[in-house]
Amino acid sequence: MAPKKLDGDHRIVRQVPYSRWIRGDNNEYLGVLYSAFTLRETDSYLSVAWCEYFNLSAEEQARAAIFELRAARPDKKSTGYWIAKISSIEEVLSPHRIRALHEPVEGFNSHAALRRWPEDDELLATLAQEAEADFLLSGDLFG
Amino acid sequence: MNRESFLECAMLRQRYSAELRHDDLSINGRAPELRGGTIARKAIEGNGEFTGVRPSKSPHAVNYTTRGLFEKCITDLSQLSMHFSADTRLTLTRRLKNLLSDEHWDDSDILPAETAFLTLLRCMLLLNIKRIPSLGTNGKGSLSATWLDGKNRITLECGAKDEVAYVLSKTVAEGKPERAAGHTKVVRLPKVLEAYDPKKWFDNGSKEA
Repeated sequence: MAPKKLDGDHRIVRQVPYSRWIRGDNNEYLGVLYSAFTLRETDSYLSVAWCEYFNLSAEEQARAAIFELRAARPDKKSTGYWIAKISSIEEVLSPHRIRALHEPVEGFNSHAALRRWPEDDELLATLAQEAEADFLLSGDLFG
Repeated sequence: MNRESFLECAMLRQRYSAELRHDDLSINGRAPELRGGTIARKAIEGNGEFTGVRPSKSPHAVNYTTRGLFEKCITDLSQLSMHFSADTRLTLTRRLKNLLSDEHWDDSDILPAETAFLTLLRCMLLLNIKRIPSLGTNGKGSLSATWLDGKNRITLECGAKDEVAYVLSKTVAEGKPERAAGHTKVVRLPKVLEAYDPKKWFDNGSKEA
C-alpha cells in the first residue's frame, strides 16, 4: 500500500537535542539551529512523528507522538520537541515541494517521512527562523 | 602523570583558580586533567589509572571523549587567555561544559573536531567579538556559535583548521530579511561579513547570544 500523504493542517514533531537549540543567558530557549533539520549522510528523508495519527485531543496527540518518538530515539531532559504544521513547513520550503508521508515502522506507528527534503543550509535556516512552531522540553513533559 | 604534565596541570589550575571554581572545570562529575597541546585520549580516574575510553555508538566515532575534548578546549582557552576577559573565559567555559556534559550531550552526534573551539576563539579575536555566543553542534563535527540581534541571526559552524561555515539572516532597509550562507577560512571572515555590519551581532553591550 502506498504511504498516505499527510494533510497540510496536520502537525509533525521533530526531536531537537540540546546541542541544536539556541539558548540565552539563563539557558532559556531562543530558537532552533538550522542543523536541527539537516539530513544525516545515511538519510534520504527527515524523520518525524505525526501528531494526528492519534485520535485524541490536540494536546494529547502531541504528547503521544513525542512519547513514540522518544521510545524510538531515547532523549534527555534537555531534549526539545519542535512541533509545526505541515503547511507552515511547506510554505517556507515551497521551492522544494516537500512530501509529508505516513511511513510507520515497527514500534513507531506515528512515524512520518518528510521527503524531497532540501539540503540548502540557507533555506533550512529560514525554516528554523520563520516557521510557526511550538517547542516543548522533555523534562517539562515527563519530569 | 609525568613531572612535566603535573607542573603544567598545576600551572593551569593556578591560572584559573582565581576566576573559576572547581565545579566550573569539572565535567560529568570529574575534574579535567589539564594537559597542554595534546588531547587526553583515555579516561583517568582520581588515582590516575587508565579506565578505558567510553564506547561511542556513532559510525563516525572519534577516539576522544567529551571530557577529553573539554580539556583540550580549556587548554586552548588558557593559551589565549590574555586576549579574553575573565568574564568571557568563565562564560565560555560554562557554556562548553554544559554542551559536553552527559546531561545534555547526544551520543549519536559526532564530537566537534579537536581544533573547532580554537577556530571559534580565532573568529572571536579577528572579529573583535565581545558577546558570548550560544554554543551547539551540527552533529557532524563542527562547533556551532550563534548570535541573535532581534530577528537578525548569525551562526558560525567552526570546524578544524580554521574552516568556518556561516549562515546569516539580516533585515535590510525595506524590512525584508536578507540571507547568506557560505564557507570560508577564519582569516577571510571579517571581509566576507563586512557587508552585513556584524557589530550588531557581536558588540552591542550584552554578553549573551
